[in-house]
Amino acid sequence: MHHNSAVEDSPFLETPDAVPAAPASTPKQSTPNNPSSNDALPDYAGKLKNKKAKDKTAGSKAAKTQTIIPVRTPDRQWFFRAHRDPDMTLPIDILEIKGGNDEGIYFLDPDVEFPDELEQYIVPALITRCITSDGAEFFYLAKQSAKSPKESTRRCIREATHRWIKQSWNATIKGYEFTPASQLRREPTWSDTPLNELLDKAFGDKYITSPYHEVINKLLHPQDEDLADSEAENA
Amino acid sequence: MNRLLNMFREVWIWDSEYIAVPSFHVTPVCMSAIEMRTGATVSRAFSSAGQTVPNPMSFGPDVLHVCYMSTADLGFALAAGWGLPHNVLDPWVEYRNLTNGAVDRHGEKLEHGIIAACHAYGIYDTTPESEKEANRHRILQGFPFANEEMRRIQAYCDGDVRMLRDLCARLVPDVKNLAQALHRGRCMKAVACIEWNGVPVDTAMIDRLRANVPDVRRNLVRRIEDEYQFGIYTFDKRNDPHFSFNNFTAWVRRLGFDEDTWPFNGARASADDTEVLEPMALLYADAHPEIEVLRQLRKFLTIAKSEFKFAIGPDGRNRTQMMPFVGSASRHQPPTAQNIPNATKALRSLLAPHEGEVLMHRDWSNAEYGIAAALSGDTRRWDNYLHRDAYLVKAADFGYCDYTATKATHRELRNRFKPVVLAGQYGQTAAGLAKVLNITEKRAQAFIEREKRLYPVYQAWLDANDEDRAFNGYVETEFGFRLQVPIDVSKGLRSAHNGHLIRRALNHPMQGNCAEIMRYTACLATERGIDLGSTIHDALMYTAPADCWQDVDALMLRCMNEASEAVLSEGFVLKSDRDVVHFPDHYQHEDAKKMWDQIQTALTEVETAKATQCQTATV
Repeated sequence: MHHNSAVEDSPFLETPDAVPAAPASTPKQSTPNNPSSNDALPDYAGKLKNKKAKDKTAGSKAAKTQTIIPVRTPDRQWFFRAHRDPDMTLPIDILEIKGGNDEGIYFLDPDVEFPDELEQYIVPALITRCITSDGAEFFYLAKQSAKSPKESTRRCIREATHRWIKQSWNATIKGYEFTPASQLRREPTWSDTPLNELLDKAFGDKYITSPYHEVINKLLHPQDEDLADSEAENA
Repeated sequence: MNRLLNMFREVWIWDSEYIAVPSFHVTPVCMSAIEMRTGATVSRAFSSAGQTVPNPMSFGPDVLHVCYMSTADLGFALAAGWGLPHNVLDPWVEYRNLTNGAVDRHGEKLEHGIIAACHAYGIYDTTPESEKEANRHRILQGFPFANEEMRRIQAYCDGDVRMLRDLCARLVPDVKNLAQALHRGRCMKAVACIEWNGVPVDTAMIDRLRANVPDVRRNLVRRIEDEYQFGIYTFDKRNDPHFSFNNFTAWVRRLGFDEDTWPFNGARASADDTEVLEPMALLYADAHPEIEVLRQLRKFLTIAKSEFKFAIGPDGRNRTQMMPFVGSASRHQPPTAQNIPNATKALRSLLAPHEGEVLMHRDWSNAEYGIAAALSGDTRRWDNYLHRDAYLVKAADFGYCDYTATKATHRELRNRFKPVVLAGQYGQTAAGLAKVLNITEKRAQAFIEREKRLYPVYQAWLDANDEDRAFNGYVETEFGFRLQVPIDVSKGLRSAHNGHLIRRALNHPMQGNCAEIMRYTACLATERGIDLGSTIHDALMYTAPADCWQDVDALMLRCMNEASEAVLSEGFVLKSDRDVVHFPDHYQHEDAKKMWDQIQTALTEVETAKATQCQTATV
């Protein structure tokens, strides 16, 4: 780009040409003598400036141990990758409680038989092991109910298995769309934590292993407060 | 350390003890040093204030000096008459750079004192804190020191040097780009010069204000209340003014604001200066200019209440620590209660050249816009920067005016679009834009999309910066000043916590590189002998002898242009405006002229009333 001509044309700018020629130093100075240090470094200016093309292929920093694994859809500003191993995608049944003290998503143990009345509240879902650009692992929660945007989430996850993407909701098409990272080729560094351990960290106390769980009782018998304590009694 | 020893013939690690009084040059007490190649140690003690002691170290071009928070030690060297070394590396700056923006496991900002830095690198001092405190206390009491006292102080200084040596051994390997680290050391030398020089002040005016603090406060509040009919201040039995939040809330409502259009804390309208009054004053500069008047009044009253504790030396110059690299974007953050150029705009009129000198102020025009345009390589935006008014260009881009609009023809619109341009540079949301322009979010989103289409190169640059942030966990200036972005993954990125971090990170290329240009200019200016006395955000203040001020100003302009090109690349020269103040005039900020006149009138009235009282009493 040739900017010098534009600079000269600018009505706002005083260029060195527009003012009296500057001496190399001030004729009278009261400021301390400050010797320049740039002689110590050959090619001072060249070494000073960051290189434009940064190495985006390098591996990530040493992995930290995460104590919490979020289970959620990725934030629209996250770049993330999904694990390529199909075993890292699991079907799971969830209960989504909206409002109240128990608000949140609960995960149902697949080996436990739950009351039939609970069926109406259960939402089938897929969770996929994913990782953000700054190395935080999470499980991508994709609900599989009739109203859920199953197709678009599946496409996003498939895309994220081989490149970094950002995902965002498009209200017009009622589905997710994604933007791939334009300059990043680095492969994600997954932790060595076994899947079971990751699931423990992800579900925590939201993992329901009893049909008499307090949350289930409250959901099925909202009028009967005594039942809320039944799990403790059974125990 | 071998990397440093390979570059320099000698590497001195040293620390100094001195008596510091605000606004005065420090008084040297003693110093200790160790040379890393030979292991030689030296120490020097001063037996009285002003004693001349030869410099035991070479300050030559092939020698490196390592000091922690080096502006203090460089001030010591200047006060001792040793001058400044060629090369400096400051582990404090490097530790700041490695941890800027980072938080501890409790989410608290990190400390950057030498003890905290040493602890972070596993180095522990065995000297009890009480003993250190006792030594610091004794030093402040000043000369003379008994032999035993000086021995203890010297031992304390030796201990700090040993800690600094151990810290360097562990910290320097973490510094990836030594050229950038040495440049930051060079900047610390420039700051030492600024702190040494200071800016000239009308001391007589400050003395008059100090002698009449309560009366001037009272008189000024009455004058402004009368003129603007705020109805905000109440007066107690002693006739002292007090800010009433209830009255303030009523005033806000009288202006036509409510809970939807003005931030409230419960039933009270918020009067927080940074978060509320400043942006509202900017946004409603034309519709409600009285908001800015109230801001300036409150700031003046606060400073007046503390009796104008500006640090002014015996030579009538205001000099304070400049606190370089303290801001998250590495900008200077001098204490505003002591530093007049960085205090409220009205009180900058206390700055006045002394006889025989000229005071100059150069301010980069719309620097952040120009920096973003230059670094993104978006020729259309750079063209806007050079030839048009950036605020009105944005208004025209959104269809609010055509591209021939000027500040003279569309002043109100320009003011309205100032915050839009500033916030738009670091990812303003449709909701934020809608609020500022009082339009629907859908329309705001359409504007944002239109802007992306108009400036695709700029948009790609913003996206690339965001990718850097996302993948590296930090963003950097062109010269490597880093800002960590510790996103809390347990919260959404649009949460208040993460949203703030991301906006700050996206703003870092503009703010941080502006600070780089400012520092590079300070290096060039002080190395070429310009009497640089202060920096103020995007501006510099300097003095020159009255008979050659134009030469000095031309030299300063050359320094600024060279610095612009060094950071932004060849051909990218930021514009600047200049103010020149000749003796006996005062500096005046254009936005605060009226307030300064009100202050002067209030003062004169008070003095006249007192003189009349004296005369009556005499009669």
